[in-house]
Amino acid sequence: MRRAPLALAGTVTGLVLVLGYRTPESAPTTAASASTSSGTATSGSAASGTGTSGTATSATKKVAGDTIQTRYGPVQVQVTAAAGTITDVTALQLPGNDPRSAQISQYSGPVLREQALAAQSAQIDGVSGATFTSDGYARSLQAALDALGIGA
Amino acid sequence: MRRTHAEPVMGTVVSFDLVTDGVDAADVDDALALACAGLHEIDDVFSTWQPASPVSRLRRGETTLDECPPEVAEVLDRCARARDLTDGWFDPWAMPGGLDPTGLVKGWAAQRALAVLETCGVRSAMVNAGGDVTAIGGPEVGRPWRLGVRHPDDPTRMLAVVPLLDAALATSGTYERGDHVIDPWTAAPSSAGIVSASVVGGDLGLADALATALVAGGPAAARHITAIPGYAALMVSADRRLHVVGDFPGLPVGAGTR
Repeated sequence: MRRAPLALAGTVTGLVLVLGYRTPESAPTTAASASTSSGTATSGSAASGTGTSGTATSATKKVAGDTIQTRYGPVQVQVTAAAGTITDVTALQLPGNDPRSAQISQYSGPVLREQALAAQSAQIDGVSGATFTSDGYARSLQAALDALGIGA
Repeated sequence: MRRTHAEPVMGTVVSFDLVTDGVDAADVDDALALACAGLHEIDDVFSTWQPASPVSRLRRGETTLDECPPEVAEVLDRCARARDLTDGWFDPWAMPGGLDPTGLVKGWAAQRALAVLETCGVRSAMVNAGGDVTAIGGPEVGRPWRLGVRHPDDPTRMLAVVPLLDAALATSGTYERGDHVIDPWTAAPSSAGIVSASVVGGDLGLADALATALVAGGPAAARHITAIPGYAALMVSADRRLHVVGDFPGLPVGAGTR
C-alpha cells in the first residue's frame, strides 16, 4: 500500500524530523561527481561559457561559468577540477560598479565550494529549491553545478 | 558531451544542461537560442513587474483576454485546472493585487523551453528555472537525472535525491526571498506554517502550481494532491518536520511515512 489517501490527515504519526538525517556529504566520498565523471579530459568547446582552461598542470584545469548580471555587477563562477573531481570553486570578482560585488564574491566563494563538494558526493545533476533571484544565483548550488557542467 | 548554459530571465536564472551526443553543434546552438528567446517572450507577456506587459494591463482592466497573446488564455486555462484540482488552494484570481498566474508561469515556461529543445532534436536535457526543474532522457544512457531537493535551512544539504525520468520537480518555499505566500481563501499571508513544498510529476507548470498550493494550504491542500495521478509531494513545516504526500521518490530510508 503505497498511496494512502489523506496521507496527512494523521500528521502526528506521519512525521519525521527533517534534521534527523543528512545528505551523504559527510560520508567518506567515493569521489567523482556524476556530472564530471564522464571521462572527458578536454572540454572548452562544449562549454557555452568562456572556457578559460589553460592554467593547469596536466590533470588540473580551471573553467569559468557563464557571467550573470546581478544588481551588484556581473558574477562568474570558476571551478577547479583535477581528474574529473572538483577541488575548488570560487566566485570570480569581476569589474563592477558596486563595491558589493566584491563582497558577494568573497562571501560566495566558500559557500559555493561547500555546495559543490556536497553535490559531488551526493552525485546530483541539479537542485530544486525555492526560487532564487538572479542575485541569489551567484551563491546557489545550481551555479556551481552549471560551472561544473561546463568543466565536464 | 554536455553543454550547459545559464540564462537570466523572469527575475531568476534558468539553467540548461544538455547531452549533445548525436546532435549537430549548430542544432544545439539553435535549440538553446530558440528556447531562451521563448523564455524572454513569455516574460514579456506575463511579467507582473513590467507595467506594459499584457498581463499587467489585463490586471488593471486595460485590455481583454481576447486582445492578449493566445498564450495568456492557455496559461489561464491551466491555472483554472490547477485551481480545480486543488479545490482552490491555488488560485491566481484570488491574489490581493489582482490576477497573478506567476505560480504556474515559470514552470510552464521551462516546460515549453524543454519542448523546444526536444523539437530541435535534443533527446536528453534538463531545464532548471530557478529551482523548478524538468527533464527528458538522462545524463548518461540508463541513468536518470538526479535532483537534490534543497534543505530549507542549509543549501549544502538535501532532503531527498529524486531521480527524474521524463518528469518534473518544482519547489516553493519561503526561505529564499522571504516571500509571503498568499492564502487564496483569506487573501492574507498563509498561516499554514509550511516553509518548503516540492512536487514531482509529469508537467512542471502543474507541479509548480501544486507546490504553491501546498505552501499556502499545508495539509488541507495536500489532501487534494493525493487524488492527482502521477503527482506526489514533500513538505517541510515550520517545526522542521517532513511530510510525505503520496509516493514521493528519492527519500532517505525511513524518512516520513505514507
